[in-house]
Amino acid sequence: MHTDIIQRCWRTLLGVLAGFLGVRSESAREQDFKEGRALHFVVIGVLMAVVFVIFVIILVRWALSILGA
Amino acid sequence: MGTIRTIIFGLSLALSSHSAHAEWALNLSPGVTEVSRSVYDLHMTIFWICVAIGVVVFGVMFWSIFHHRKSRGAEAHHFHEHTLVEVAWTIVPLGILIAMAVPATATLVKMYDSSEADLDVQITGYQWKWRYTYLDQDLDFFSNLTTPQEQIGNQQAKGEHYLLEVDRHLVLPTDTKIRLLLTANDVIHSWWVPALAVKKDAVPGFINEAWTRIDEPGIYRGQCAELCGKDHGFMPIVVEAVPPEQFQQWLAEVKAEKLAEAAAAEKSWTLDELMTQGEQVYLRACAACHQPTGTGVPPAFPALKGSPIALGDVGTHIDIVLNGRPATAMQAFRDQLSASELAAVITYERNAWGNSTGEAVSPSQIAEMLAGNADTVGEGAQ
Amino acid sequence: MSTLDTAAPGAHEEHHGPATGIGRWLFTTNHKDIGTLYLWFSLLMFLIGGVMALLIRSELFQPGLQLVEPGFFNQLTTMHGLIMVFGAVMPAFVGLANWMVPLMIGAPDMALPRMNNWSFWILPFAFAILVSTLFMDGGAPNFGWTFYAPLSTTYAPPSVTYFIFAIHIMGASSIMGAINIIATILNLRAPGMTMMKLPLFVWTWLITAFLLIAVMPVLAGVVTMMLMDIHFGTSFFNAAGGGDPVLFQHVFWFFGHPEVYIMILPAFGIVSQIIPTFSRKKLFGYASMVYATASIAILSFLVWAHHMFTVGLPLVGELFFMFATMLIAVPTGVKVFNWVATMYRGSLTFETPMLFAIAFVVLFTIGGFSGLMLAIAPVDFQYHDTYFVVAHFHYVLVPGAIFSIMAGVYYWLPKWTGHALNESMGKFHFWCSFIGVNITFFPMHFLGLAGMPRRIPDYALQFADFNMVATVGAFIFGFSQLLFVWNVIHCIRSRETVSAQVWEGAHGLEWEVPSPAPYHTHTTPPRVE
Repeated sequence: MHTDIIQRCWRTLLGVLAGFLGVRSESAREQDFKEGRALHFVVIGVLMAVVFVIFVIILVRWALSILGA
Repeated sequence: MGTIRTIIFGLSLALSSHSAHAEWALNLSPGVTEVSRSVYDLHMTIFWICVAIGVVVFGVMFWSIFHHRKSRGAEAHHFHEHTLVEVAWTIVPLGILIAMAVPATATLVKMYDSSEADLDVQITGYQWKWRYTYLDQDLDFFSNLTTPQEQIGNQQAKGEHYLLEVDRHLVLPTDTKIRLLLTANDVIHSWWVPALAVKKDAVPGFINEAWTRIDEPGIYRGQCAELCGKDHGFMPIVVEAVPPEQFQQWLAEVKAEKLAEAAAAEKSWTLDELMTQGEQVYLRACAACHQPTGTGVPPAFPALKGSPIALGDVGTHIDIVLNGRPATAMQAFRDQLSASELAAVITYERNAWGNSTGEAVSPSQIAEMLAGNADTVGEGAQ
Repeated sequence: MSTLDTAAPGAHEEHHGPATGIGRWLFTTNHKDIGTLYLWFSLLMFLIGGVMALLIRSELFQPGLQLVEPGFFNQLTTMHGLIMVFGAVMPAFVGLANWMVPLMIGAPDMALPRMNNWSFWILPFAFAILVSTLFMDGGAPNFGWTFYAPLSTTYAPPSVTYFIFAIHIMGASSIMGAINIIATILNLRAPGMTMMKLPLFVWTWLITAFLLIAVMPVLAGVVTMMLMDIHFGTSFFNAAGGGDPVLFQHVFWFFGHPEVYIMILPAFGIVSQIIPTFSRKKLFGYASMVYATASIAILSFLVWAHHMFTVGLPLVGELFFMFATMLIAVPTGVKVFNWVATMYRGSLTFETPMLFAIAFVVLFTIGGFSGLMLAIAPVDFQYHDTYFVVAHFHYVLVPGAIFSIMAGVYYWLPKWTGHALNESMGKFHFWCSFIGVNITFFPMHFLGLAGMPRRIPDYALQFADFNMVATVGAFIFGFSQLLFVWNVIHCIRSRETVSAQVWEGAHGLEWEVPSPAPYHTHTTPPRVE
């Protein structure tokens, strides 16, 4: 039960990440739609957008520290 | 193939014959500063990357268009996904973008480092002129378009620098790091000189920073880049870069001129003298809004001809010209014109186009008012 | 609902024809009628906005002021932008959605038919108000379609209040339209039409509708803040009162950037319907397309300040928006690759809709390239607010959004009218438009790089040649749109009937109902296996 939830979250997360890249295979998508819940995708999607923002901020900080500005 | 080669040859011929045309530009100018050259290099790099991607993508597409057409008996192959290919065409552009981001970041960091400047110039955008203040130099002037209305209205042949000429150039020394402080008096303007690769918005109430270090003496022209109202297209920028010694000489000359101007205010002027100078000043500073005929463009720009202000109390009239009308396009001209110019233009407005009050306003009268309410009104206007 | 559907589907559809007279159009709740209204309205606005564009181009034909005063020139650029964005492109997409979404998903109508009527019928009022400002004292709004404060507040003409009211009405209309589309797609799909079987046009519209609901209130908010500044003494955007003019730009572009995607995602959807049909092959990477569209939608909220690189953002902000913007280019690129891969090894034919779709892919990609160049902040300092930007967004919007709309109209018109297109006239229209659009907008890249700022009524002499070329192109493009009008009318009045499938390679529920589509379709839900 517990591992099941983790696994589903992981699948959703993979789906969202695949979305950010814009690549998803047909079979994986079918699984997403069969097993995934729209709400999970929305929540994880928004979360990942926040992670994306943090990632870019870290990237900027890192670039600036390298260039010594 | 033969025909294609002819077309390509013809095209290249047409292009090369055109490039003989001196003013005809297709591309960004590499400019005259280190920053502008690295901006140009970045521009060319990203341009060629785009061309390369375009050749590949459109190449595949046109190959399909020619070879996979039904009229040639092409049968559709039923494949509709290929994860490996898809991952590849995601990762490759990502790599290209990262390769592009590195030099772009380095250039941007350089552009933002305005520290340790040797000269500070404050640039203020006005509707529709620029004001340049050399901080620590006690030097401050406005720069107005000088292209005559007749050229704009097509009654006269257009000059070489049509719309890109001003009465006073922004003179800057070469090989000197110059910090530019940008702000605006009314709406947002944007100060842009392509040869320097400097474009920065001038925002009312805020100060933006940019910097430049010009390598070659010369005259560099630019324009306001942010829509700022009616005459947005008519507020050019002219930068004149001169060697540092010549710049010092220029500073001394301008300061001497300023003293002479102050002396001119002392002498007494006749009505005719005031009217002659007034007309010149009016056409330069007022006619864009109030029109050369004094009829204005109501309601935004009221008529002066027959206006109760131009015919009524002279004090009110002077006050409006000196201090402007807040929240309208009417600016304060106290800093834009000298006392004698102000006197002349007010006299002109009170006696031109059938406004015959017969009154002459003397420069000393203006100088007095300027001195008298400098503190109170000056602060109030801020 | 289902209890009513006792009669045989065909017989049932017969006795509910449209009402007669003007009442049919005023009071209609039928998705096809409302779709038609939206499309005619959008065509009218396209022509009005187009006349303004031609006036602008005529003034710019030669240096010097010939036709219009600088003040009126600014009114023209402003009205052209507003009318094209809010009056032509957006209503056209809503019209196509009204017609096609119920047909594609097997729904009898839109989920909220009365609101559907209302969301269309407030639009003519909004635009009547907007256009009437041209005749007001002080003239129409003259501050550009981006209406930056304080030019649009403290220094605005009195008609700005009417402009604000018109924007509010358009926003309300868009939000109602979006709610309707979401409700329809989520609730009225035929049995077996699962989310993963939705045609891509439906998917892109679903995502667009969420974007609309998210950003239209932001637009309403920013114009309300303007209204407060103008009439109620607040100082949101007035530095003298402690406000910040740059705040306006942040709020505006937080709306404005997703708005860009609102105008292009449905175009992606239309092209993704057309290319597979005429390639006789399934869309390559359908799943990737859906995921890429969703991620573009989310990421479009994180890149707004790339429109403001010169406004004086701190270095950290500048870099953040540069990196984020460059990353968002990836999923957009993926879509182009997918379309090309769909054509690859297909069995291609080149009917009018396909020609427009192919032109869309090529020219939109060119617009994407210049977009990528604009994303590089240090170089953007040279491009910003020049004709390079004008070239960029016209490439994305004219041969992008507008070509996709024309492709969609040509593609579905035989379904709507039951009559065949005049293919040779369609192709003639295509080639005139294609050539005209490139002659108009390609030289603008050169103008921008050579240093010509945008929104100026007169220019220095070195810009004269390309401006003349662009104006000639604009007239070719403009007048060739009369061919489009002729084609549409001709198709409506033609007698040459077409089959239900219309196009050989067309698949989907919309091609299973007869042509012309009866007034009521899918009253008995079809089964999708």
